Amino acid sequence: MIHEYDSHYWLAKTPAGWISAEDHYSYEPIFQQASRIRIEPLHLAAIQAVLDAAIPAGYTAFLRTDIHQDIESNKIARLGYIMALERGNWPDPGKVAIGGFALDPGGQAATWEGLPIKDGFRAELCCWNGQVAFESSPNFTFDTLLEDGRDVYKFLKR
Amino acid sequence: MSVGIYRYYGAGPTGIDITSVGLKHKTIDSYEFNAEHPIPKPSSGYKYGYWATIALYSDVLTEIYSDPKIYSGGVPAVPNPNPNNYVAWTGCNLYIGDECTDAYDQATGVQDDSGDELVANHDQVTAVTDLLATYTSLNMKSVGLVGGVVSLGPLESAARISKYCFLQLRVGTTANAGSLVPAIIYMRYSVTS
Repeated sequence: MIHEYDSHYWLAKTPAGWISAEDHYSYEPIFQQASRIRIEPLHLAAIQAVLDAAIPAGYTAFLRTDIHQDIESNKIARLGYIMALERGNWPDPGKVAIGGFALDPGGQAATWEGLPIKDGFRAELCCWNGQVAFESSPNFTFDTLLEDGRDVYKFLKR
Repeated sequence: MSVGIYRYYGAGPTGIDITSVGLKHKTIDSYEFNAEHPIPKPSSGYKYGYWATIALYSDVLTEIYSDPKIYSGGVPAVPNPNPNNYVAWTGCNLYIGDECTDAYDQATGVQDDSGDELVANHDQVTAVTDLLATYTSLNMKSVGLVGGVVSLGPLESAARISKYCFLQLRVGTTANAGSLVPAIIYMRYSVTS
């Protein structure tokens, strides 16, 4: 589902082809068949950054949107898109509370707080400052490249 | 279709979306954002606003929620320029009950004088913490979902999704007369969609 507030959306490569947030939810079973997922900007006004990961066999993917809502102004003060992988078979991954990144005084995403990272990674595209926070076990890393004017963060298993 | 922050008041309680309205602390059990029923400055001790009960509410029936938290932007400074003549938070503290619960307890007090103090009078709250001084982006307070579950949704109908949080403004003798600089309070939650 794509919301009014969204600046980015997800796509997933499944055996049935590419699916996306336009007509699917990431908690649907078909999403768990994905071999690759991407989070991409919806429009040119959005932060021009892409998160991209191949999903190795034996790993489960999680997608979350973290919303920080200001009581006073009805504004979403901070919006973050989280992509996470963890080894193992999670029966209903859309319902797992994985947590989020803690923020430092400057609003920078700092350490991961939530489901421990045992064998996997957590990445958050912080739409309020355009940065990508990343924490992982030793066997994951990331690479950055420029693709059609967009910064692509590719998360890789070592 | 959205997630809002609701304030609950009255015996029922009645819930109303205060996102875009704001949260005003007054000596009456009401959500209205106006200058009526202000908290008087005490000559000794403290005066309190009626405690405010807030929670996350959703009418989106296709999402899964987790990890609701509350935090503030800290104690706000007086803006410069200050066209609204806001006053500093000197002598004033905004407290939050340490317990967030699914049980509602209507705020009580003496209208136009003082609300009853939260710890002494709320059925579930046993201690309070200074929200603006303690809970910031560095240290968010976990709120919990309705029923204490780890995730909630997709909902069958519009409903409160987080536990209730209880907030109370305390005014001391050193307070300045006037409207306090508005404080920023955030509710944070994760969505699977």
